[in-house]
Amino acid sequence: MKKTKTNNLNFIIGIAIISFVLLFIIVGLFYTPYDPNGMDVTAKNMAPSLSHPFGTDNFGRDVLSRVMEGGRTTFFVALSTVAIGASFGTLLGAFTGYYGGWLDEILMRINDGLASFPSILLALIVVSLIGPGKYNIIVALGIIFIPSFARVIRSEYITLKERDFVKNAKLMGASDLRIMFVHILPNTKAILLSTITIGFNNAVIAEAGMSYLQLGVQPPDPSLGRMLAEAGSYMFMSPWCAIFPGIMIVLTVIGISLINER
Amino acid sequence: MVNHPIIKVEDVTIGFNHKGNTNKVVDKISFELEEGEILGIVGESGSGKTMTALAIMGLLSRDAEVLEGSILFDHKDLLKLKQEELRKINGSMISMIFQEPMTSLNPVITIGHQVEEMLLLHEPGLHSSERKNRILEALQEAGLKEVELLYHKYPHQLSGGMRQRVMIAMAMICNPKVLIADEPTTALDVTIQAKILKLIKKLNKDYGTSVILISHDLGVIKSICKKALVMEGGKIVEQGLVEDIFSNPGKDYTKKLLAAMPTRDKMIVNDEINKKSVIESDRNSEIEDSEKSEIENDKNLENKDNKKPIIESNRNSEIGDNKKYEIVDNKNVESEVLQNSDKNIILEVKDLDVFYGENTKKIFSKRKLKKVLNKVSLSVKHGEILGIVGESGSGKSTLAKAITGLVKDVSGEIKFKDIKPQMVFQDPYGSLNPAKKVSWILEEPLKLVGGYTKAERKEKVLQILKEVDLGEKYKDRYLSQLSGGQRQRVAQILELLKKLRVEHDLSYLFISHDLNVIYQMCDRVCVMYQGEIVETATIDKLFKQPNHPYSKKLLETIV
Amino acid sequence: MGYTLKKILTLVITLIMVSFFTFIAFQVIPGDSATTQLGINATKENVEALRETMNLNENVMVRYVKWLGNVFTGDFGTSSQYGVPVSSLILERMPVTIWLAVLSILFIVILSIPLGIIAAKKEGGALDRIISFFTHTGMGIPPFFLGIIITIIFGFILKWFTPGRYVDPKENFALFLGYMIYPALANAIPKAAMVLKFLRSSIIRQLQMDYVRTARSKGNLENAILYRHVLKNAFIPVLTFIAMIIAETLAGSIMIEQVFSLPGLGRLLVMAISNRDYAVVQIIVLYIAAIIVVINFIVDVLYQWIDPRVRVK
Repeated sequence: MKKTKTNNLNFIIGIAIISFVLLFIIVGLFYTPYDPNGMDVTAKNMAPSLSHPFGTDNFGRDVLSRVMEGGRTTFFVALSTVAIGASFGTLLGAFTGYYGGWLDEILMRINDGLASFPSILLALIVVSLIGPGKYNIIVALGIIFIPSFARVIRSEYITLKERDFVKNAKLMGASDLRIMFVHILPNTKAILLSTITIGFNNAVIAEAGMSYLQLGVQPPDPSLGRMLAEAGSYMFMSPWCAIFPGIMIVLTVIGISLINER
Repeated sequence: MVNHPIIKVEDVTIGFNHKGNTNKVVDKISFELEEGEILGIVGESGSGKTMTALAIMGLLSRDAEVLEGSILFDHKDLLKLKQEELRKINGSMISMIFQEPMTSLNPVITIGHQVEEMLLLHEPGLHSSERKNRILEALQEAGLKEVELLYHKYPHQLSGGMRQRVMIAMAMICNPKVLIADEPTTALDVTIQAKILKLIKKLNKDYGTSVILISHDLGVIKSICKKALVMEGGKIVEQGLVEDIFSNPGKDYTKKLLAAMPTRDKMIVNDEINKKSVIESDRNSEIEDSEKSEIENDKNLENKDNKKPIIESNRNSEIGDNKKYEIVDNKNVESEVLQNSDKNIILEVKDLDVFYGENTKKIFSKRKLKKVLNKVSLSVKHGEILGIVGESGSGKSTLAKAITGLVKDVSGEIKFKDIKPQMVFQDPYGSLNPAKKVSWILEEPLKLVGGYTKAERKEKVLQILKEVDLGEKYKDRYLSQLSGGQRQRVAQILELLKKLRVEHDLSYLFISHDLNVIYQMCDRVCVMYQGEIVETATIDKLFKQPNHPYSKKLLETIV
Repeated sequence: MGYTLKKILTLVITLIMVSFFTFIAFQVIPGDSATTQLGINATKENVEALRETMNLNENVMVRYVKWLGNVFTGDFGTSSQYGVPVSSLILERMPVTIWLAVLSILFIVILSIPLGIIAAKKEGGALDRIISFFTHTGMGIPPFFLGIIITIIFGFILKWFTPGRYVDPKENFALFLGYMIYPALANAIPKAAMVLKFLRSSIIRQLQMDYVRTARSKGNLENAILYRHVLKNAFIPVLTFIAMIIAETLAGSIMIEQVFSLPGLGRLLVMAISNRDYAVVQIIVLYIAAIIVVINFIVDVLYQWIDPRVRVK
């Protein structure tokens, strides 16, 4: 990527945004103004004010605190999901890309088949089988992310394995495993990172979506998606309940994709 | 009759603007192209010759600009023309053909339509049938056969030589006054090269088209140009008739360039002169590095107590190393350790057949095997450099891979004494792992072989870096960080190889398509053609008295 | 010709495999459908009786074949939620989803292609950067949140439509379309952003190719180069991408339907999942899978047509 001025600017903006978001989350680890699940019937649906900077929701819960904890949940789910997808996907991609053969053919057909499904749909299918919940979502989404990682890594391996430095390594007597993971893998760093960031974004959106559909994080725990779902019916009355979590999601995603641009 | 210049370049300077600093790539050059003549521009990569051509056509990229000077064509300054006017000239008055016929044609448009575009742009009044006739005619003039069929084909269906002919047809169809040919033959095989050059000469004669021929290869320039100018570092170092330049080079730089060419006369002369001076001139020559590969480091070269033959491939290579190998275990090949049967021979290949299995995607069908090497036999003696020369497709790379065990479908005999040869590849960018530091790359063979402690490994790395004249600081660099100042030219590499041969008692199997290099490096040489070795001889004998008709043909291409 | 036939064969086989897996997934894995339906407190006899009616005691393969046969005749089973034939539920909801898809695709094409070309042409310029900014934002906002924002802006603030007041097309087609614009937009914007980005980078990459230099040397003006030479090449990879997008859109935009309360297949699916109405889930999943497979097939065949390098002689 050309290091143009725009790209550098994008990068900086991206970092700034993410730091902002992370601030909320990290602080939330230690301190939230109120108990995120604490209901206060006397303070229902209050607009943003000094005591409640983000307002309160229909149950009197402080939106700011919920956003802080919800953001953390969302991040956690997204990170775990990507971790699963990236590690298994890389393994799968490395083996199929390096060895090829009929196993590769079959696995790739299946892989491509899965990859062309909208991930939400697949997630829904898995959830309908194993039930909803925060950890179930992680498993479901993690599995769903494997095909895209596998595909990307596989095509990297297919090109890289023809390179002379691999042949050299073979000549020197390096074992296949060593070649695959010590020699070739570091060369996929760039693409891997890029895919991970895109994957993270998708995971954030997917988690939000699943929770929005009441299939992800279960009440009363907050996650950014859940908050959007809960805010749905009261949008006219208290839009801040939807706007703040929504903005959090948007900022996260935009921030990461700006960083990715460079 | 005084010929008036059809193109007059005056004091042209071209530079790149980068953050306020200007980097000049062409510095106040002036020359003229006479009507009907073929002018050569010769120089190494980076000399500015291509930039000059692009400036004439107005094709410079956005970040390059002409800072001063004028280019007069037909009394008009091309540099001052507006886009629309320039576009009218390009293609109809001045045409250009490029180095890479592979990528210079649009892959999704038929040949016929691409050539037709010229007529649509510059002779819009023509009828469609008239156009088609002109196109077929142009294709034929360019030496192509079955032009009716060719019209509907796509570029990927043609060979390199054919594509270049199409480019020429396209460039000539509007009967331009000037044809600029930028390295038109560099990407082509040597025998096709000659044909294309002949074609250009013919067109010049038949149509009176003035030609600017750009090349780094002096042989190319000498073959058809009357006058030439030599460029170095953006400046013109020498201008004049080709004959004069070649027989009486004025400037040092020109002398250097010429010294790098093995001409027939020179070979005979060398016999009579002291051997020593020949070696010296090699050392000083800087042969154009048209592949722009850079050697940055050399791998560990193992110690002197092992006699290891090393297989080399073409230019800019790096030397791989190893201590000990198991003998390669191919299916039908007997690779044995040579008992002291012939003390002198350290690698012997007998009746080697190599097959290439197509990569079929199907799960259940059998692989089709095609024979690519046929009954190849050769032997490498201790301490010698045996060359393998052949054009692309001759099978020389396959031979190298077979000998080192990288190809499985073989039959025949490969025997080596002591150890399997190490192989050095053609492209250093590809041969070295870009994700690793130099020190890791150098340590890896030691790790694989085992038996060294960490400290010993580090020690060896430093030792080897010194041996190949690279400073200690390189050990922590990555491949990408080594470019720029460390460009090493072919001759320096060859020299390094020669030095290591002496120091470490090595023998080489040296593979190349470049006769110049073969001549400089090898003691004996095998000529390969279409998967077979057609002639094996000492360098002297081959270059002076080639036997096989193909060898003769190859050598004809050297001037 | 042989190439196409091979592809058709692959298509059929894939469809069969897909249907098989769908069946297994929803009939076999979740365990006993009968127990699920009747609840944990059901008596053993009742469960047995239900199992008999549902034919759950038969061999899996037999059940599969029967089911497949039924599917072909249009008998999709009965919904456990509503007790009505699944086919009627589907028929009711299909038009909405399809209209949503059509409008979305229209918006995607209209938005992405012209802007993508402009952005590539003026690479690095102000216009390109503005478009780039919108692309980032468009991709960054989760579609359903976009839906919420659109609802807030156009529904509550500008009052151009009444959120939640879906109009049946049979009642008033014009109003129906008027309402559908907004969900279609919400659906289209993120996808258009992706296509735009892809198209732009594809064009830019092509502009750096050697054949463009040749085209310039022939005397072509910039626009001619773009339209006559570059676009053909640039579109080839974009096409697969667009096909994927179309497949996704046709598959039903679950989120959007939820936000705008559209009675489409997506919403039906979600409710069916929550209520373990596997008959419905199965069919919808089958439908979506089939669409994706078919569209991929069409793209493959189209590819052969468009890219001469792929054409088998």
